[in-house]
Amino acid sequence: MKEKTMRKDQQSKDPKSMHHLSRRSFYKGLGLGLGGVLGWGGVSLSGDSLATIEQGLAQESQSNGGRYFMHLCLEGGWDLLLGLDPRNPLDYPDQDASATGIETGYTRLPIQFSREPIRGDHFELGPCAEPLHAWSEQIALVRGLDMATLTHEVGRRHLNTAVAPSGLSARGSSVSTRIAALTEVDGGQQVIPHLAHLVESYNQDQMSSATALQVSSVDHLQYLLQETLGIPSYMPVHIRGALNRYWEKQQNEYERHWQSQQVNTESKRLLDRALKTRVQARRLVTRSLHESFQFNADHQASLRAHYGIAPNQLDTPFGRAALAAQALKTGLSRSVHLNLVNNLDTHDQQWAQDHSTSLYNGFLALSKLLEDLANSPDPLGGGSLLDQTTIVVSSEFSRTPRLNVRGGRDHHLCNAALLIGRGIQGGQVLGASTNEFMSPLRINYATGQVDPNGRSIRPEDLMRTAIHAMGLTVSDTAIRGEVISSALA
Amino acid sequence: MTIFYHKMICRLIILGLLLCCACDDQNSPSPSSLATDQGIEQSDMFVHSALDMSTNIAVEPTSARQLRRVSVEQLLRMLPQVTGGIRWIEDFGQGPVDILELLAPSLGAPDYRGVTHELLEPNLLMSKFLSDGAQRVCHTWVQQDRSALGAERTLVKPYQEGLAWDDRSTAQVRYNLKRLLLRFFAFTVTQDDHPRLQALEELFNTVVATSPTDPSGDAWFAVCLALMTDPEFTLY
Repeated sequence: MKEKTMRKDQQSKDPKSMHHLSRRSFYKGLGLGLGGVLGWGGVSLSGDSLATIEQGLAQESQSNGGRYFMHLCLEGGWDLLLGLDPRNPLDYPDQDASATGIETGYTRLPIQFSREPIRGDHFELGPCAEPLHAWSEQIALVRGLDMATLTHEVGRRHLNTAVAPSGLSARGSSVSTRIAALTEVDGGQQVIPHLAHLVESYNQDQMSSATALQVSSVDHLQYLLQETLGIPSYMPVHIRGALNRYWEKQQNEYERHWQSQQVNTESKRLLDRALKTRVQARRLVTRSLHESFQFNADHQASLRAHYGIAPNQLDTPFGRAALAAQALKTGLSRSVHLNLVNNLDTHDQQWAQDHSTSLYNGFLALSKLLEDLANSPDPLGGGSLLDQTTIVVSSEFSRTPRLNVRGGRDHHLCNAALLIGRGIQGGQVLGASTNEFMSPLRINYATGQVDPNGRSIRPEDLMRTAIHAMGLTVSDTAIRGEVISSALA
Repeated sequence: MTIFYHKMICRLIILGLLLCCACDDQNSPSPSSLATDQGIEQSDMFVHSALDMSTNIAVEPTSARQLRRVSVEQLLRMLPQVTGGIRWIEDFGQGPVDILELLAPSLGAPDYRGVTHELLEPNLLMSKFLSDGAQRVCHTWVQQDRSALGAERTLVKPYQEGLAWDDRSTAQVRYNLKRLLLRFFAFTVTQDDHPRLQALEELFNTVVATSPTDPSGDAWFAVCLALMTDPEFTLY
């Protein structure tokens, strides 16, 4: 409600508001009109139609340069005491853990980690999140995120689509898919608008071109972008020419058929996409994009040095961070959904060694990614890439504030997340967890401060805020969350 | 429950297609018994429920389900069934690797750790894989088929006893194009003026006319490529 009120106020002050208003009215009218007509006929709007309407709304907010989105996941459930929501062991001695419900466990960590939280300019971070302090000016730290689940798939899919799953099943499209569709209006020649790496991706109601290309390794992306895996082509020129003509005829035949007969919308969409990707796949290899992802090659020595990537060890948080950065820097993609770290699910004694190291590496890789984006120009000419990219960093839930009998931590509801980049007011903490047992606290979305009369932050609120920060609009029916206005720049 | 029945029907169709191809290989009839009144082996006869038989492209029958893409698992089984046992195998110095298995995670196959949901959308990587894989597989298929006995061939079977592999008589070409349409898409073509058959025949004849050294080999290679990169090969 507040969001709508604010936008109305802005419109009345904006000399271009008449133009905006009329276009918005047109799209809304079109949507209502179509909805009414189709609803009367017993047919629902297709995904592409809905996406077109949302896209029309998105176009209003378009500015110079591109708008990019990254959703970076740390898989398994992260430990907030080690990272984003630390406590001072002096205030929470381990012997009082049964009363406070909080056991920092800092003394069990490998020797390289601090035994207390690290104080920065804007907030404290845990011993394993030390690399993020350099970017605290850009980071809005969201604490007290209420996940309402202790199941990995449910937490992941809730953050993935910003809609609570139905049982284990995801509902709706991935936020990264939605954003890839909404930013179509920004222009650019991204050949893979939406890149997903080691994460699930969904497209239930968005245009086909926004569907993620899921790659499981940098090698596979390289393969996609080059002629073959170094294997000689068996395609003589005269056969290629004849086949191109055959394919062209076939495409025309399909289009003629679709115009002349009623074809199931979903079947048509699938066939259309299959035909288009067949053409795109051939065009892809004619560009030299694969060179940007040859991380082992000599010409990528500086990239390897920046991220600290060892030769032939690309499947690390650093290799994945480099992949994400290159996807935007080369203009390959505008929405990247990526799993930065695996194996944070540490219930046993390996927590002290493995979880802390993995978490630290994840945050270090994130720090290097932010530095890379800050030093790279937007391919569409909008300043630095970090200025133009909205980044969400999340994990499906957190880990219990008390250590279990095996020396590890189990699943915990109260979570945290990072919002960084375009449209985000950095250098602040929004929300909090309780000082006992670390439960989510309600906050006032306008101030970001704890307020018993406020709301609990939910994944849909977090994601809706990120979408809003990009200058995009998503319908209330698609994502029911509320924008955390205090997070916005 | 409806979705369950649809899935069951889809599986039965795929199973039928696979059995159909398998029967063809295992019980290859003698050349003299190959041709029927319709010019197609009975073992290849199969009706694709998602295709309109009166046109040359896929459409959904009014009372049937919509198209969907095959899963990586299905594709892994389809390729050798269709080609008589040929897979896309490469050796990068560490032993032979099935490229489809190698790329499976990126093609969408779930790993049941972080990813348990397979996105069944046609995508760039799938198209690229089919484009590259088709070259490799079709090249091998042509070579193997050419040196095989008539009854053991799976790409070009003799329409009449004693016909050579590179016989390019109209009857022989049409007979095999119909066979391959059935083999790849479960698409039965009985009329010689069927648009889909004509399109493939035109491709065949174009390549024959332009091939500098091996007209028959190049033409069947092109036909194989056209069929394997056809959207309907991976949509059903």
